[in-house]
Amino acid sequence: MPDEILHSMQEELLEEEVEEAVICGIGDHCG
Amino acid sequence: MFYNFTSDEKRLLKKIRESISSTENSSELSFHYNPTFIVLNISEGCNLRCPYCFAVQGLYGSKRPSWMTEEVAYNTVYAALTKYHNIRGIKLFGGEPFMNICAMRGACRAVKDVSRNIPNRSITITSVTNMTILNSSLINLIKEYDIHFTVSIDGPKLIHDQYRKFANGKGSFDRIKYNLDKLSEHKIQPSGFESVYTPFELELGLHYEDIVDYIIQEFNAPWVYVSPVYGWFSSTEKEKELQFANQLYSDVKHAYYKYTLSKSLPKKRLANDVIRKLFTKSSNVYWCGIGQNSFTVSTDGTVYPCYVFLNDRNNWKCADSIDSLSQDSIPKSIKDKLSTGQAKLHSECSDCVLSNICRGCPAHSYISTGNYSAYDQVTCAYRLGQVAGVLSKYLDIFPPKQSLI
Repeated sequence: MPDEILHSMQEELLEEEVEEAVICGIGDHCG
Repeated sequence: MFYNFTSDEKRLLKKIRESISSTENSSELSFHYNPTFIVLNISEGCNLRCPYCFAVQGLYGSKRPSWMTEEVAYNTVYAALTKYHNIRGIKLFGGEPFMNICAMRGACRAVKDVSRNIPNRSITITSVTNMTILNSSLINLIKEYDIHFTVSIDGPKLIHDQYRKFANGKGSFDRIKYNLDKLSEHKIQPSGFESVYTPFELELGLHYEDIVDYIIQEFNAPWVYVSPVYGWFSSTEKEKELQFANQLYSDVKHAYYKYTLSKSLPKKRLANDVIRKLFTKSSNVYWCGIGQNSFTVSTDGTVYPCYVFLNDRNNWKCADSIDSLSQDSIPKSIKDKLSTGQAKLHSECSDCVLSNICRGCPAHSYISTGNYSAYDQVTCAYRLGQVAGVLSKYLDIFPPKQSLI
């Protein structure tokens, strides 16, 4: 089980709530 | 196109998805009409002439530019915010939105008026600008309404001025730099920078991460997003397109490997943005929520599913105005098109490791190829490279023998 990896990734996401920049890109990044 | 992830990378990706998938299989796709985000296309015209512009110099296929009035901007935003209580963001877009300060002001006033009546409601005003226009009125507006804006810049002057030129052919880099310095004097910083990455940069020996590095260093950028050019290659240039896609995959994977757990905050943000997507629950709306969660209002107040469709208005009109927009106002022909599912349901994406989470960009695909899908060789290489870079870094830190037993 790659639990260490999953935990490490989730800690990264908890560390900082980042405001996603608004761009005129496509698909995953148009918001 | 198919990039082979290693078996460990695939297993890790599977584990990540399994960790959040308890509800995944139960979320059936359906047409969820629930506007949460409105794009106000206040300027259908631009002072730059970038050759790769999807909006065709900001005109979206029209012969002449058009500009939203302050009244239409105010009424549209006011109606949208009072009608749809889940809207949290208004994006001022174009063309070049900063060319239309009247409409910017109208939209901002409406947000303020609605917020005054509902104190706990938070609505963010965002914009994307080429940053060639700045005056004291704009500075005051940005300050007063806390407008979050992203600046488009393609990298060093040599690169930027190759593409982002004024109508007279002069490059715009120096003007942008001047305006950014002015903003800095007023303690205003863009929330992000975005770049278009093309094969030209690669010919000059500038790889993906060189552009990212440059923008972070030169502009002290808190957020930088470098995305590959869309629709650069003609249908007869498949071999060239494949070469560029392969190089991009390799470059982006290498870059994201380094960004993962980086001490540089803007770089770490790029990697974390990928991680965030990997942990995102599968959506039960189609694609990115186009025409369900997000709508675009053109300069005359007409509503469309997305600004990309302003290039093909006759076929994509959803309503005459926000007032008249409803689930029933959207023509069946549009709903049928929007309801073609997600990447995982398309044959060309079915083998892709990201097919469960890719939101694609069916609008771009439709406008450029007539095919309403997510597939674009270069864009797919870019997305896959990002994920491969992040996964491979974690697998190096936590070697498979220890972690994947």
